[in-house]
Amino acid sequence: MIETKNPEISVDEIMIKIRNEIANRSLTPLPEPSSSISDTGETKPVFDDIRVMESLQTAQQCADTGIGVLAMTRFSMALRWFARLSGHIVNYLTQVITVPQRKFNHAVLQILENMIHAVRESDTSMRYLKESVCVWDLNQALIDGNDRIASLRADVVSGFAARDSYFDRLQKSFSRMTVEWDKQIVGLRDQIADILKGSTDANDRLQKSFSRMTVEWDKQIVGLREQTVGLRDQIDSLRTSLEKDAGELDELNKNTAFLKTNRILQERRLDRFLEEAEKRLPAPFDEKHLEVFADEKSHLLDLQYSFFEDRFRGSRKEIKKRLRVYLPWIKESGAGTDDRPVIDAGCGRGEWLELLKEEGLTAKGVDLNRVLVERCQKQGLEAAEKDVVQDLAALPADTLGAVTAFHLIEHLHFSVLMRFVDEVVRVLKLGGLIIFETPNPENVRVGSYSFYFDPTHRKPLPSTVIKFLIESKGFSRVKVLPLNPVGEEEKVKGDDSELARRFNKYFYGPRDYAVIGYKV
Amino acid sequence: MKRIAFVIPWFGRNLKGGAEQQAWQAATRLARRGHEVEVLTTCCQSFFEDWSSNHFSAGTSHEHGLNIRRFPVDRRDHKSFDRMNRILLKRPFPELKAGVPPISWEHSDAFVKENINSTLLTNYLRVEKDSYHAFIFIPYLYGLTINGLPIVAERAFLQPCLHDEAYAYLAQVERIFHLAKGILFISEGEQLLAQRLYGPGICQKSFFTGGGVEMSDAGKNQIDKIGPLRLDNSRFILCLGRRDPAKNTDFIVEAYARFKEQNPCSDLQLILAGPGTGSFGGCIEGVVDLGLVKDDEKNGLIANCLALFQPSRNESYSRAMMEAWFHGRPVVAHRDCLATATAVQCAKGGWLAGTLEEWSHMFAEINRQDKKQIAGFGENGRCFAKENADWEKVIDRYEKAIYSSDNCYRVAMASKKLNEIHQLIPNLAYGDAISNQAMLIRDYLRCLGYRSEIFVKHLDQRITHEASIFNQNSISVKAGMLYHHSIGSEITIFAVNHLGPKCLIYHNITPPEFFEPFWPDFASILKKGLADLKKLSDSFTISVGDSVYNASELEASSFNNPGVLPIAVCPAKWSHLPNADLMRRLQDGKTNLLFVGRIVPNKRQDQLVETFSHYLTMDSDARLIIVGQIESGNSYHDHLLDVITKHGLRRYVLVTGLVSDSALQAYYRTAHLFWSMSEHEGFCIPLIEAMWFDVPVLAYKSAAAPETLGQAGIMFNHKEDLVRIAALAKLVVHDGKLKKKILKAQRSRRTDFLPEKVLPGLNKLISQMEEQIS
Repeated sequence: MIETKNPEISVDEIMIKIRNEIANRSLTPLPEPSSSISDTGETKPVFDDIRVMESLQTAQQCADTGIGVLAMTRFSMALRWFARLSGHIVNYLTQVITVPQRKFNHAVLQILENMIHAVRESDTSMRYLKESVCVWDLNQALIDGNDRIASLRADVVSGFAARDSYFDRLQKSFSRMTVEWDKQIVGLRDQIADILKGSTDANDRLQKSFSRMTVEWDKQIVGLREQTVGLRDQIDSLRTSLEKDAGELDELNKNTAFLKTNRILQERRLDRFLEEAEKRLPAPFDEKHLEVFADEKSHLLDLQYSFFEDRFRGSRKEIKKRLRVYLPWIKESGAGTDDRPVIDAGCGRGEWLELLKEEGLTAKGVDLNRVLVERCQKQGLEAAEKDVVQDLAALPADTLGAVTAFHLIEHLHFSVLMRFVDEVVRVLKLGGLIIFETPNPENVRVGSYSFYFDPTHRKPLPSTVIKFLIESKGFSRVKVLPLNPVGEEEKVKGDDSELARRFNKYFYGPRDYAVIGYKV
Repeated sequence: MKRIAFVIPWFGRNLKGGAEQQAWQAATRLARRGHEVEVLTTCCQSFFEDWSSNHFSAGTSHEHGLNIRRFPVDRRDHKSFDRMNRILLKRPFPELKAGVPPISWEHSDAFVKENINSTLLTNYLRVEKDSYHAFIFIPYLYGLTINGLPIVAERAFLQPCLHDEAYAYLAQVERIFHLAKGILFISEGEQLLAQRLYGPGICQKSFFTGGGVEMSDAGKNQIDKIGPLRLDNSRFILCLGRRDPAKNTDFIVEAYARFKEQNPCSDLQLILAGPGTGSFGGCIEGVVDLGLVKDDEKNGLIANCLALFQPSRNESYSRAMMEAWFHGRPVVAHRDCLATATAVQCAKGGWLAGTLEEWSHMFAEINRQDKKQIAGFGENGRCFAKENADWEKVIDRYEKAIYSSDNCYRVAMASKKLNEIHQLIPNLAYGDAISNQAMLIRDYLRCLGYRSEIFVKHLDQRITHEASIFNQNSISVKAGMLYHHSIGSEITIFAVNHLGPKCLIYHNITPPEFFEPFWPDFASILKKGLADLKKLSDSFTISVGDSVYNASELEASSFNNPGVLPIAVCPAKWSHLPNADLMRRLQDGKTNLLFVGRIVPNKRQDQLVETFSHYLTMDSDARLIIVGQIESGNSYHDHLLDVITKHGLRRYVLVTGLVSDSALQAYYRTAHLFWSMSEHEGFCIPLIEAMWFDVPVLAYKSAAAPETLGQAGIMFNHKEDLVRIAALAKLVVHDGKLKKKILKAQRSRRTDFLPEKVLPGLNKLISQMEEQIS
């Protein structure tokens, strides 16, 4: 029957002992338990044992009046000797009074100790009574309790009566006492009265609380108390965690501010260094070094430009919405597969790349701006930090499905643009697609004003020029697509008038255009 | 390296007293090893002087390689202190109960306030605490420790030098034991006493340092004659130490007198040596009282005695015993003194005696045995003393304790592709073991460098900061997910749909047939849960159960190769005061039989009540306490009450319902037996909790119970004869030897479930999840 994996325990030995236990068990009915616990509530002692004991000790300390003499430490040596001597004399002379007083004191103390004993006994019985009240037998216990309280009260009352008569006798025999001693008696009598009152009150209180208390009520109190404790703990822990969080946040803010300033200083330092290096040390650097410097310098504005884009180009969502226009062309041309990938030249923040990825198309971005490329990479988009022309030049011919360039060509020097188009022609497969988007200078407000928002723009490129250029390089089915028209509400009203029509054409026409063509 | 400070009311090389000597030795020896050691003490001269008088001048001095900072003591109302002290000392010893303060908090507050205190010192602690690595407060009782330790609790070590006395039961004292970062014990017996008084909450921060004995002059300068007494050719028993009733000196003399009555011709003498008033010399033939002796005389006595008798019941450490063992002499100690008795048992360096009869028998035994037999015990003692009382080894243990690193798991994962691993759990409840497990797992994952949060459907108001309410976007596709599953809930579908790597942690489903007669609705929920579990196996390629038993259920539901991750049970949870009122009422001499677990049919509390009725025929002074949540809608609770009434046990059985942690602690701490008749357990945490409270466990062998118990506890494998099971329960409670064996095994088993043992089991899961990424 018994199982254990403990090698030290012998099962056989236990089985023998079990048989003994069973043989010796008692089959008589169970006795009532001496006490039972009915709930988990706390009980308060009715009788404040400690305070009474303290008072009794104080009384005991003063009982032996007229025996010792104070140490008189406040006096100096000679004076102290004299004061103590006087003390002894006074003690000796007042013996007539102090000796009977001491006897009286001890007699009263004896009575008090007996009373405390009696009260303590009654207190224990009360506690027993309370504990024996059980959920199911509350009534019976109440009746028992009342009986016990009544008999106890009778005991206490008779005790008081006996004590009172003793008191009278004592008082009579010491009626000749001086005023000084009388005061002490009054003091002691007060104490006795306090205790008497204390014990009667306690009995009354108990009786009252008995009749009122129900088990339910007790439980509620306990529940509330525990909830309060729980709440308090929770508040404390919340407070600590809040304080901690606030501290951490503060710390973070400080760190960010520091980093910002530090970065600005760092950039300024690097800038100056590059300039100085270029100015003063041409000789010791070889060509390669200088290239590195130049390259570094070209990146100095990368971060600035990324902020610039965020400010002027428009929100990411907005741009993605605009670019959605081109998706049908890409799909129709069959570009975006693994063997006909799309290259987005000047991919910037990567909205187009993201859009293509969402559509399940294969695409790669190229951009010179290191900051923007890193942002793309962080979003899981494929992008490389390279010069677009060099990147295309490195590719074998007839490999791409499409090359797109949104707001790139207006950044290029015309000769570079020509080289770029040449490379595009080379690397596109047959049927490959190009999409170049750029600001439309036919809109006068664009050509003369907003085009120059971007300080890295070179010059506006009219659509006819670009269309011609593309066609001349051998692209066919070349098409100009006007884009991003101005909202009707901005336009000058009066559609039928020639003036309004012309004005709206030149001032509120499409803001961008795209040129689309195919390699044949 | 930061400074270490000893905080002690009095400090000096020549101060008498165990704690004072320990502090002096430990401080100077640590300093000699190159530690920067300071002593923060008062200007008061010693224990025996007025505690409000400043004998030394305040300030810093440099002595014996130590920086000693002395602070003026506060004025105090010694009268009210003395009054409280007298009341405390008057409390009869049997009235002292663990967890029950002998006087109210307000009264003990006066005792602490008017104790020896120094406001300037506590202010210094407040201001300078960060410039110290550790503070060692020694000993536990004085105002300096009780008021000072809470200020620097996070770096405070308490060296209590604890005795089983009224002061040890004060609520303020228990509080500092719970607050301290670590507790240094001078003997293993003292450590056991502290755990008995303050519960398992202190287990994990307890360190045994031991106390050393300086044996530099052992062997040389040995004298063989004191006055007319020739040591080398007398046969005598030695009793060292202060001669007073508290040290049981008159008791040992009485035992010797009894021995002499029975063996009038024996030449065995009893030699007493030590300070104290009065003399026992000449009162009985054969008793020699030398009074206070010099060190070389003491060494001579120890070297030549047959054995050392240590009859005191109130020691936290006995130097004399260690000295006797260094000389290869056996020791007899009092059975009731935990410190000395534990040392004698561990060392096998002597014997234990309790009654007068036993002590006089020990005289006869030593009189009878020849020197060689006795020497064997002495030799055992010598080995023990060399290991435990050698100062170098003691200081090694001090260093280990003070510089023991904090609990953080630093395991580098080989290749880390995941950044986040979150947990999804239906509900998080305060004090619930599975919720605690989830929080431990989260902390562990964070230690490994993952971002980790807990997402729940229902959140307990008390722990809102621990978790967030789950919504569809809470866990990203790229994050790993640990999903805690039992019967399934509305969030299960989200776990199934999660595309990233994921793992199912299974916490068991109770077989529905248990619930059918009592709660058919719940039974059908369980049935559905079991059916759903099979479906989950397709979605979760990685899975664990919290026991082998649960893992096998997973395997049966066609999960592939499920692992095991047990639930961690950490005793530090119990670092608060127990419900004092319950502690008082439950320590009334009755046997407390305890079961903890929800009131549900599979736990068979009804059968426990029935078996308990048989138990009462063998031990009528007992009560059965059934602790656990009662759920509405479950008629099993009514059934249980009916069974109790049917057996006429309404006054013997207490069904508590759900209780607070402080009440639960009181039930565990006062229990004499943890008794389970449960027929289905997926893990059963209360078994481990009972082990931490040193409550012997008796359980029915079912489901995961045998696995959780391991080598510990004791089980029965059928229930045909409930009378026998009751008899077995009575044996476990009342058979001291059996209980001791069970507790020994339980103390070892419980450590297998500490977080530091359990959590590294997660590593395998994590690497499986990482592999899913690639």
